[in-house]
Amino acid sequence: MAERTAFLKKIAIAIGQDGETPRDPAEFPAIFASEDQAPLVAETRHRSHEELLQLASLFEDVAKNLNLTCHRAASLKEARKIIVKILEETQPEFSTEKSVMVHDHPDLAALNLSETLQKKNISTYSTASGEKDIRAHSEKALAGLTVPELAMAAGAVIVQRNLPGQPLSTSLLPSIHIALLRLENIVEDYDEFYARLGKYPEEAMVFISGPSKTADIEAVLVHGAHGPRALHCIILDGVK
Amino acid sequence: MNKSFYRENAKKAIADDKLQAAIDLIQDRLGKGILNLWKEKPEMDELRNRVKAAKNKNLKNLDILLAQLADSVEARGGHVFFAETAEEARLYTIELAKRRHVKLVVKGKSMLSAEIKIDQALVDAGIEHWETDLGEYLVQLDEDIPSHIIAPAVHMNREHIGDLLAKRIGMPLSYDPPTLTLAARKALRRKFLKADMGITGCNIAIAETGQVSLVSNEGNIRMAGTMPPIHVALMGMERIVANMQEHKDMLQLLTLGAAMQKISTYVSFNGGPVAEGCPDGPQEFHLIIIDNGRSKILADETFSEILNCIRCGACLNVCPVYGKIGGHSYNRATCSGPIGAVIEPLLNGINAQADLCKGETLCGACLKACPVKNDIPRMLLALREKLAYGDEKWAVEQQNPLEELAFRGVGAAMVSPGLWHTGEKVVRAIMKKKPHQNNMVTAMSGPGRAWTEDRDLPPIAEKSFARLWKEKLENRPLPAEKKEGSSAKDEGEEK
Amino acid sequence: MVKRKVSLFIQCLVDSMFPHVGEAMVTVFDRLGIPLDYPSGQTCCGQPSFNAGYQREARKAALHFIELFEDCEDIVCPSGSCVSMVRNHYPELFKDSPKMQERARAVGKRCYEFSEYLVDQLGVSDSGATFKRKVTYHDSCHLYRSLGIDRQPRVLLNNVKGLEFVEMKDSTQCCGFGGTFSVNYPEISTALVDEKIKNILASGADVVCGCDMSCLMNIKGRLSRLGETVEVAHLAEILAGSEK
Repeated sequence: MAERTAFLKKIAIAIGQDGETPRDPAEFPAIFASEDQAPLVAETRHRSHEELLQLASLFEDVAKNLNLTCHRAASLKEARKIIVKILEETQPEFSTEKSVMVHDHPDLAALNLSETLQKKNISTYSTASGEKDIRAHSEKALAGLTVPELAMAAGAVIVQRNLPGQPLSTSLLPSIHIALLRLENIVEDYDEFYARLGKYPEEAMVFISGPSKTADIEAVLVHGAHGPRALHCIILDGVK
Repeated sequence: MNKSFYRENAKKAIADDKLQAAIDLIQDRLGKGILNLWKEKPEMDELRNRVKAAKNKNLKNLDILLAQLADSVEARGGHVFFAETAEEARLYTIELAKRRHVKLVVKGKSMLSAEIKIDQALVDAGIEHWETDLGEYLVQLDEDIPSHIIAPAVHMNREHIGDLLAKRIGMPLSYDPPTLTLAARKALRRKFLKADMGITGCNIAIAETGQVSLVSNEGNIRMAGTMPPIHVALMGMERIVANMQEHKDMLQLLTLGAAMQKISTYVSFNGGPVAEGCPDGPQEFHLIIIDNGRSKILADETFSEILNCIRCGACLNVCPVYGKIGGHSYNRATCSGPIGAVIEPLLNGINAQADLCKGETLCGACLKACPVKNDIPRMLLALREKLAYGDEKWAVEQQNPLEELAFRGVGAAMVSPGLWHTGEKVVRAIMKKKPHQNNMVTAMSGPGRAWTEDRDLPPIAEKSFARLWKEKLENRPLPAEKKEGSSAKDEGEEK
Repeated sequence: MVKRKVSLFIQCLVDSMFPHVGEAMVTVFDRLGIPLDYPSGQTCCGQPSFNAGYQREARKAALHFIELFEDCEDIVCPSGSCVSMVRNHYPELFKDSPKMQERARAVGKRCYEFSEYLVDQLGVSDSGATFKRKVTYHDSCHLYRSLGIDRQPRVLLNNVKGLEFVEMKDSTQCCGFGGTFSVNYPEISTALVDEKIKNILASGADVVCGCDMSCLMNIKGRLSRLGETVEVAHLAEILAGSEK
């Protein structure tokens, strides 16, 4: 604590304060204040289905350049078909067996994946709180399946917050990442994205806009550096 | 002329065709890209000005922001250590590692970690550590240092890398970038999953939410901040915004300036240990906020502007000098390029880094490219002034007293036309005696000698313009007067 | 348009090494009917000292300049870097003296670069010149970045009779002069001017034009040493050209 006081005092003096008493952030709300985002948030929630479809198209256009593969599904049933197809067609990287990590989320529960996948010799592991060996399974998994609660079309970005039953490693450790995205969770640009994000309490969060990549060798772009080598976004675009 | 490290290495770099081609590629793609972007999108100007204004506000209230950041992190169960010096930061990290019996460390790309020389401290403590950004990893295997802020291995070509990886990680020889990348992916994954501690830097800390945010395309920083049980984040004290709105603005400038990206592949936010029961790490989060000379810069209004730097590397991508000499010529300092030319002298001694602040042309491209409009040329001039006369506050010894005398002499001539024109006559006489070709001097003496190594030097003209004016131009017939009857041509000359 | 009197701020380099550039300026202004004078006490704007860090010397030169030129109507200079020095740096040299700073600002407001004056102040695009050569143009750093002047020289060049204008690659890239940089870091300076020359030659032009003799001196000196035949001309020289 003493070193904090000394450190901050030095800064206070450097910027022309007398530094005698540490300045309390609570007394300076203006420094942290920002414009009220409620009106913008409301705007994004009042979009028509057509407007949202346009945003989905924008997301897909931007995604192309990022090697982010997009799919459309009118229903959860269709989504399940797409997921199964992706898993069938993708070769495992970290194991000889195929497996998928599934976030604890009602949309994913409604997919009823494990039965279907078992028939294809693909194991399903839930990341729900209390499940055993989540990390060990994630390290070997072919795919991680998540449900982003928010996406930005102009950057083809999805967000993932560290929530109970929804660890961040699910979109990091497995060989590929599959995200199920509801149409109404797509906003247009940075302003709307941050407005909807608001003030989140979790300690960790990540924005994701494509499979991992690098161009560190002679500026040649390669996908699949240290994160998933492919990212699939399945956009649920059926009318609710 | 004393030969210096800077000049010696500049010479080597200039002769290195492969390096030149590699830097050309980056400068063509990214450097020109960012300049075009600012030119073609005037709305970007608003964004840049907003970020600059927010940064100014934040620097003026840095003590408050850091207090808030620390409080927010600690409220989550994270640890915050304020390190005034590099040594304190190193000590804290090593002692933590020892207490936790850390054997393997994975590092996310962090220039600050290089600045505080944590690598050697880890080695001395017997702790294995691996850079995980592909470029940094290759540089580490090569036992070298990075040569660009964003593209650390820009100086290495695929043949060199292929040979290196074959030797160091035993992969079958290949010069194919995807194959090489896949090998690195496999090799580093093992380290990520086994590591006891991840050390990252911090691109932008957010005071309000109590987090450090980091951008990457590779996913290595996510790995280093998520998988090991301990996460240590090193943060330069100035790298902070007040709230998420400011983060939104700065993030855009960072990813544009760094790689012309609307957003990087990953933007990760870390601010504390994970909740009980979470299968991921970190179980322990340590934020080390580092001064290491920054508060002195903050206190000097000539230089505090440089603390706005977001370390995007755009200035490197437009600098003609960097383009020729490459990142290793800057005395192997942590930061190269125009940003390095300002920050390294301020952090590591202006005399020691004199070549960095004198060895460029002040062309101004960096100022044009900088997303936050840092006036680097202005600060370079200020550094040069300190070298010219010496400076007590910054402990600068006058670099060249004889040079000052010479400039005083020239200065006297600048305020006395009589002395000035006499000087011209003297130099004219000296030059007349030198060897010539094409009516130009090929071997000059004194300060001109370095010039005539590679260039011819035009001589002082027989008659100065001042003399020509007096003798013929002042009372020249004007075209209107000449119109009547005269067929005299215009007094134009082609050369 | 009332023609204001132009006081020539000739630049130390032009005065001592390239007086014909000054003569060319006189020719052009005469052709346009602009009254001229030449404050004979002028020496140097102080930029060489300033860039090398010797602000105290630069300040003395600046004071001399301001005293000499502040009663002039319009001040015109054939060098972008000098005009930038006066406009952008003189005020900061006197930041400790508000009165001097005011005087510096006042002079700066009436100090123009040659092409800027012709196009922006006199509204001239066709200077009445003839120059039957293939010409490319180098954008000097201070002119381009500190003063924002790049359109004006091109307007003037494109209206010269018989002149074929070609852009070179990277015309705005620094030529490597940088004042004392050229003699303190000669290998880097040479590498930069070599790249500039590569681009000049690739353009196919047989004349390279610019608005700053410091850059042109640098380029000319290296061209000569390399034995290249491309010629170097200041804009004023081209605009002074008549039927040839």
